Amino acid sequence: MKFNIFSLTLAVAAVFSLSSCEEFGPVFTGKYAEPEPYRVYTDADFADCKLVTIAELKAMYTSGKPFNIEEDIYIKGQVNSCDSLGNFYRSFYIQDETSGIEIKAGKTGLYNNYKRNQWIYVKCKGLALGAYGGMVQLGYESLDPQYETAYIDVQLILDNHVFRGEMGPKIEPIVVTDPADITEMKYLGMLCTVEGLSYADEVFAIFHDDAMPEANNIYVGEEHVGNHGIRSWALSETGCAEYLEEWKSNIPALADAVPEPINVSQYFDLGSAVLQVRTSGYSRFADTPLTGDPDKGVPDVTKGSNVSLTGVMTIYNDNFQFTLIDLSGVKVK
Amino acid sequence: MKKFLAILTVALTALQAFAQSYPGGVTGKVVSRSGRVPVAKAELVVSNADGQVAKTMSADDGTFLIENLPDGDYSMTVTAVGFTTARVNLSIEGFVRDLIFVSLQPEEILMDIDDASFADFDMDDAGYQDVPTVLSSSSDVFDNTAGYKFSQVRFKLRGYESGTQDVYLSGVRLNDALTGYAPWSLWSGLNEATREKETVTGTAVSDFGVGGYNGVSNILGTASAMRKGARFSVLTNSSFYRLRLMGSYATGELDNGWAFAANVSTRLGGNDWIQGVYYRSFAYYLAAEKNFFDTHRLSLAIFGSPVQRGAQNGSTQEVYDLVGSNYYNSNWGWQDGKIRNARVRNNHEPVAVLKYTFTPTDKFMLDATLIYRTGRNEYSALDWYDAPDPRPDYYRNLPSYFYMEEANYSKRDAEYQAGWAAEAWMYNYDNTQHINWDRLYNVNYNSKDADGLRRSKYVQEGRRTDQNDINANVRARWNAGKYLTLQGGANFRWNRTEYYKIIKDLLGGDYYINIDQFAERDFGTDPIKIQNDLQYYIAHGGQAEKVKVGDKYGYDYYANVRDAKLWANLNFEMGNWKAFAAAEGGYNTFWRDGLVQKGLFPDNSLGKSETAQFFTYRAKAGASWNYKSHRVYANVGYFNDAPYFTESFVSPRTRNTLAPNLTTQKTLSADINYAFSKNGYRVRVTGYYANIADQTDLMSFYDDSQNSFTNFAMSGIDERHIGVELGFEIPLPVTGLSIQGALNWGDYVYTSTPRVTQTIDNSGDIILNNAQVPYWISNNIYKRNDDGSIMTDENGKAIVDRVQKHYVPSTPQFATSLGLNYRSPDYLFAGIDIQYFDKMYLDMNPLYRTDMAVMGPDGIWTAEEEEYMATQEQFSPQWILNANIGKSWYIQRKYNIGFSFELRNILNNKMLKTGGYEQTRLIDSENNERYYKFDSRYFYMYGINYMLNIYFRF
Repeated sequence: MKFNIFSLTLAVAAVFSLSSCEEFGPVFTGKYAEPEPYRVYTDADFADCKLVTIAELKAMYTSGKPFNIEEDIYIKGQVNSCDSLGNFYRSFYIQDETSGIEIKAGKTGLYNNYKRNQWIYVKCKGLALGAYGGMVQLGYESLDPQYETAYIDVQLILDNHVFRGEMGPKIEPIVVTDPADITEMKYLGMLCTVEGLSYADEVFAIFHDDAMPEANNIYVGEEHVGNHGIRSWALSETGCAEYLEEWKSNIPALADAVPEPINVSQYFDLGSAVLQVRTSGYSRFADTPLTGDPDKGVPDVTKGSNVSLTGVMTIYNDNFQFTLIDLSGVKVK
Repeated sequence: MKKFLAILTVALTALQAFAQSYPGGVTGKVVSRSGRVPVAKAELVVSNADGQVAKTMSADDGTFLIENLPDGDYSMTVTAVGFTTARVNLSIEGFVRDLIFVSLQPEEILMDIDDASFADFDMDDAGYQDVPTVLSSSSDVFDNTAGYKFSQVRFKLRGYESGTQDVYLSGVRLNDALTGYAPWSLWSGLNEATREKETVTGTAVSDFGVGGYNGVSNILGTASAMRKGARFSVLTNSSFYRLRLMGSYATGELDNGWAFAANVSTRLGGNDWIQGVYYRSFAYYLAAEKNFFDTHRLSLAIFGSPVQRGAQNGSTQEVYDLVGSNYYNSNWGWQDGKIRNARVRNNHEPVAVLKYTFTPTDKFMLDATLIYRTGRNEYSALDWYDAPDPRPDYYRNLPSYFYMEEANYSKRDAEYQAGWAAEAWMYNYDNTQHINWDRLYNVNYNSKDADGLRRSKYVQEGRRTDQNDINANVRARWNAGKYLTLQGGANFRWNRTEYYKIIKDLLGGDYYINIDQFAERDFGTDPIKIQNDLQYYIAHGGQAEKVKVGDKYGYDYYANVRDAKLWANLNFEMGNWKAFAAAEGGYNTFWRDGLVQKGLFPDNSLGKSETAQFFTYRAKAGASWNYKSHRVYANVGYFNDAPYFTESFVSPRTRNTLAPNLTTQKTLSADINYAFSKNGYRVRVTGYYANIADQTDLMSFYDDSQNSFTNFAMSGIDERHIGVELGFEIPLPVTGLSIQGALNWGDYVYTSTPRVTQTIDNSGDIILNNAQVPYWISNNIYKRNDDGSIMTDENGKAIVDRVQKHYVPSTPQFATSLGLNYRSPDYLFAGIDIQYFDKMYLDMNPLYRTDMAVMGPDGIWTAEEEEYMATQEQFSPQWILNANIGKSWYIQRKYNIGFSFELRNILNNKMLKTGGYEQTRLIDSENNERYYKFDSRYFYMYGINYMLNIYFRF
């Protein structure tokens, strides 16, 4: 085979032509244009769906009968909860003028994607409507007999059902002063400021004797009398360890308890209604004492009857639960 | 008349002196080493101490004859176009010596072993390392074949780790001061500049140090060492990078004593198999050398290899099956229509080498070398704070997180979600398979603080390991007598490396806050404990730093290593016998120097740690016996080596604590070899053995039973390697055709029960204190009934069927290659080879081999659990077929142009696992009696791929 310039050039050209332009992108530039902001959905995007209020949606549910929504309906509400401080977990709540509902999204760090006061559209067809302890929720069809709805949890399903709208105006919490407003479950799932509360000096918490699931529960406060030394909103792992150190001797049942984050219910009275303020042991403000934290402007809620708390109203089996978002809503007049 | 007779006598005597013919001479036939093809027009030059004495050219049939040589010692050089120059020592004693064949090594373009083949896999901080050993192309018949042919399966020579290979540059051992790894990446892309090297295999001794037990490679690296001439090549391949351009020029030693050399190259583009892996690399090398009166030589070389390379991640088989490809890479995503890889290596570590050589006589040589290495070594990754894990194959995104068939997983309720997740993966809805850069940026856009600035939740960090490494070396060689050669030297190394990380890209945000989010999860209410830089926090009134692009954050510390060595070699040679003895002693010390005060460990993070000190030594001896074309040789050595910095601190990113039980690694190694080389036949058989004791290893991972990141410091890891290496080349009756083969049959097992100390990263609390890892060395396999259940004896105890040993992972312990090569007289070469690999094992996770993991949450051991948790995975054996073809043309004896083309894995075998690792997490079970393992992650070898190289030399 005789060598010549022509065949050589051909060979070199062949080499170059084997390469593809696309893969040289990062090679030559290393720079990427910043992505577009998310698309902001508006009512126009749901023109072919039927809008229902959250109260109407909740009314579709009958106790004990969860179901998959077949109708092409949607709800629109503003996000009123925030899981950045750890007191909400895997769910967020949206409310419109009529009511509020829990969306069991399933992911953590939901506040990164669904901001407080942001309008959210939820296309309900394909989602499941059910309740837990009397609190109606939107989730996914559940195969677990213990729960009427399951967490949605799969990004694809979320992206096909939950849509971000514009940022709305700051939600004004509904001022609740009448115990009947609580006992008649008027504002479930909505942001409320309950005023005129007094500390009931009662507590309820469940410890475990082993750091495993299915460990034995150790109940503290079942008889609904006394604070049993739990004088913070909840107990973080460190807080729990300190508490056990001090109180193991006083409460024999705690002898085997292991230090771990503990959810605590602190009780407040509003007239005849009892508000159970339930705080997660994983929340950042778990160890803040009820007597307050002057550095952070948190007042003492244990004295007097003019405590005002802001949070989301929920229900669990006849107990009216209240979930704080953070401690900025804790006020004493 | 008397006067005339006197003049005549003188004249005749003078004439006789001139015309006297000597009976001595040399004859033979010049042939190519491969296939004994005769080489015509080879130039043979005979010289002695005074200079050139005779010169001739070989005939068309390769034969030559030089006559009339006075008795004495000569050296004959044989040069021919297309072959490497051969040198033959001649001793003429009054007759014509018949050399029969003078074999020349063809100067083929061996496929250069690019360090791209060993691009380390991204082990996702799982705590594993997998760096194969590199075999440089050498004249050894086994190394030659295995070196290149086995590289695609990441073969480790004799199963030894990368750090066991001593790699020298200009006589200075340059293995990484912190990890011990061979530093191929420093001259990555400089194939021409580093081509000339001296190598020895196994436990043999070298001329530039005692060496270890896995061979020594000394890259000469000076300007005069580089082959004279200009070379240029263009290469394209489908498995590493699309395009490589390389050029080099060396003057060789000029008449004025100067020598200059330069080598540049670039490697660009991606490949046909793994998306997201790309190269944007350059390399440069410049050297100058001056020879002063043949007595002094001064050489300076400066080189560097600025590399940018996208990395590949291994995934679980579940993910590969969902995506439909074993080559899925989870490290990248689409941005702006382009592939953007989150894990990119970006290194530039230039090296300067200054060497002085003093050779006053040909019996004595002294050289002194100074090497300085500096630069930047960066590996980028995604970092995030209090936001969903951005990795697409994060376990919570997979169907297996939602649903598992076996009821005991307690995952049967989210079956619908599992179906949706599977669909999203299979059809790549919503870009599920890739990093969603759009989402990451948007989370940052929407993360506004009270001032309206965007606080990034996702960033791209760059983890830096910036070295400053100074090596000073002195070496001397003295031919003490007829039989003895003494060599010795001293070496000092000073290394200070800064480990830190910086923000590379805020991904659409304005700043990132420098706190430890894992500490925050556990100690969220304590602002002190979450600080990465406590001093900054206090100095700024209780605020953590808001870092921006280029700012350091996270951790920042120096690793300091000082190492001094003294060594001596004694070589004895008499007749057919050679023997050597060598010894080395050294002192190695290292310490950590923290530059920031960590909130979790305020008293143990800033400033100097305790100093670790070790006395090290090595001793070797060996002998060899030559008889005609046979050679038998054996070596034995004992090595007491210091541990490396990277395995000696429990958690170097957070604190100054040294790992417990730090001790030197002790290795006993021996090899016995037989080699034969004649007339194109070449064989080498080796039996090798090594017992490596007291290794340490450090792993950091998330332990689900503790709900925390933990550090696992293992010590007392022993291995025993034993095996046989066989390499051969046999010419066939057909001219130009030969059979070439290589075989390694090894058995590398763990031989001890190591101890482990497990600490919680966030608090330093000790979970396991010097506890045993009982199932590391082996596990039992129990007899089974026909229905698959475990057979028990009359007491209900499980019956052991056999004890299953555990093997050194990530290399085929059985590897063999058999090929047919053809070489034509007009420089055409072609070959085909078939390879078989077996005895490949997966890297083990020590956690799965503890009692805690095997016994399960109930603390009760069962035979089933032991087999399930502790058995090491073995990969199935694989066949690979390769072929190559190439041709060279020589124009006017001066210009050489050619190409070589190689097609690898012709059968497109996509099932060969080259490595992987067990994940470290455990899954609880419903009945609480046992744990389940997370799926392991694997790396697969590419399917069919090609390499085409076109080169020019003049």
